[in-house]
Amino acid sequence: MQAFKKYWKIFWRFRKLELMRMMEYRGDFLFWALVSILWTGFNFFFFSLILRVSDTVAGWTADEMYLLLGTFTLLDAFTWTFFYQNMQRYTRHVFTGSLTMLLTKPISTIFLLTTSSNSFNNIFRFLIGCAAIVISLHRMEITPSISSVVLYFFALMAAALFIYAIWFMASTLSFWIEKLDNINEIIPGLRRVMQVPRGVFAGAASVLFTVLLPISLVASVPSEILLQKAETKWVVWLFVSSFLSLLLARKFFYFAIKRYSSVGN
Amino acid sequence: MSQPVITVSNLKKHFTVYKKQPGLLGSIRSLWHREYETVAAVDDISFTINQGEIVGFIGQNGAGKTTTLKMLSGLLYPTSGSVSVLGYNPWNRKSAFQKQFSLVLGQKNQLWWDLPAIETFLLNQAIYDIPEAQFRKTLNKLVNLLDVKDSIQIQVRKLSLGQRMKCELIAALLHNPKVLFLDEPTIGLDVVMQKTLRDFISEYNREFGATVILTSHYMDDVKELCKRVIMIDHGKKIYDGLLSNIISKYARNKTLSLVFSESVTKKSLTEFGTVKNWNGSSATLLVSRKEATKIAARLLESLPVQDLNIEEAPLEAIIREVFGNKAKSA
Repeated sequence: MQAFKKYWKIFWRFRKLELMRMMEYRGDFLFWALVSILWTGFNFFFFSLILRVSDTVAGWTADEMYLLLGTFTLLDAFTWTFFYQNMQRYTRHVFTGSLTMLLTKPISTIFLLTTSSNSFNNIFRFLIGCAAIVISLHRMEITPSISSVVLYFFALMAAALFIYAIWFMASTLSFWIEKLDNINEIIPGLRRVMQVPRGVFAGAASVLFTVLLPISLVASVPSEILLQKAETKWVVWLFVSSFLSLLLARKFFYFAIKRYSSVGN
Repeated sequence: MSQPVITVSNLKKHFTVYKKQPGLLGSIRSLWHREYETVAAVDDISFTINQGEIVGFIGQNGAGKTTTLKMLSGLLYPTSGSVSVLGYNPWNRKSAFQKQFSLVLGQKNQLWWDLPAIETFLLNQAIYDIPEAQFRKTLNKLVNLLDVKDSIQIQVRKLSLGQRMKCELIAALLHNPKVLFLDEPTIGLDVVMQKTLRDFISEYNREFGATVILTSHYMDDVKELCKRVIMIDHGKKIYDGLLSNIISKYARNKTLSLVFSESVTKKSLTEFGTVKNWNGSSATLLVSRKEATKIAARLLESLPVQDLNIEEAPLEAIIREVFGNKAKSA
């Protein structure tokens, strides 16, 4: 309990430091906030074009698709807020040797690498995502039960942890591949897979993106929970794969740290 | 007799490094074929350090000093050998161990660049579980000792190198570490700031009984702070003992400075030793260390000597010569 309190306190101190830093560079914040809003707007616009020529996408109606996009936007804003900068820093720490300073601290290095930074640029995307979910549910005249809403948030959390785990493992490769800046573009590149219904994928792609690397489940399964059409096996697989990938990410990090050679000084 | 705080036995660290052939062709070749070689950064080093000692690590660039410090801090896993610091195996990275030591790398920083240093201090207070009263007391003491009361409220990126280094030291010492690894803490600082930091390290060692390992390329740092030095060359320990004994072990010559009452020729001096300087009325001779007293007596008898001084060679010159000879023989 004492340890949890300590980590909780440090987590919020990091948020405070980042908030202070953001206020030092408010122009940068406003610009990136605008870029992220535009990006989200273009994304909705792109799918609206598809839905004009096709009534459904893999069996999902337009309103269901907007619910899925809303869920994806929430998830994406969250991962962009907490993971992108930290993973960029992680690979840079390994490359420049500044990981040294983190490793001497009497606190989990994974915690430091994962939580020390964040951005606030995506805060408006949270609001857009929430608005898309509420409006689409209203249009479909669906009032989800409290248990569905609770399960939805747990599923979103599991999805975020799954993305975190695979991103962290990819960044951990920087212990072997010295300059790995672009790894931080590969995981976001998979976002195209996340924002379409899992039914879009067939054959080998389906096995790859729903079973082996279940990235197509991260927005689809929570959305299906709200739409009351979720299949139990996929809900369970989302939670199980998140848990397993987190364990694997942790083991991989401790394996990698043994071959850390720092850099010359 | 104080207890050993640091015990190092047969410590080795080998790195595999990639050897790139020069030029564009070399880069293209390296795409499918890379040559690697194993470098012994630390090669079978053993020593013990007692509580409260300040020990200087001396060696050329790439000698293995920082690699040793990183292994003592638990950052690098050794190829073989064992280390105990404060009774802990550093590679287990126990929180209880990490709360008792600090590593300061002169070329790396832990301060948050865009924020005032006080914010990093507060973060370290949370990370190291420092109680509020102890934190305030230690912070006030360190801030006063280093005279940075105003600097800690200013964004780190706007501080001078000297002010920043002082703040780095405060960040590293807030938890009152029992063991301090200082890797070139005065690098890039002007002589006044170097002196301030040296005085501070000495004061910290006295007040807290801290054990300190210091690496520095500035001999003034070593001379002022360390009674004992460990010399490392190409990963091997070549000397471990009192700084003052380096002179008796490695210095081959002494310098005789002579002032004459009448002009003497250069030729008349050559039979006594190597003439370094000569202008007729004064001269400087390099003579064998063992024979220095006898040669001085002979000079007084045979030449019109008005004043004579026998001096040891400067420590810097001796160390330069030691590493120079090793490099030639390598």
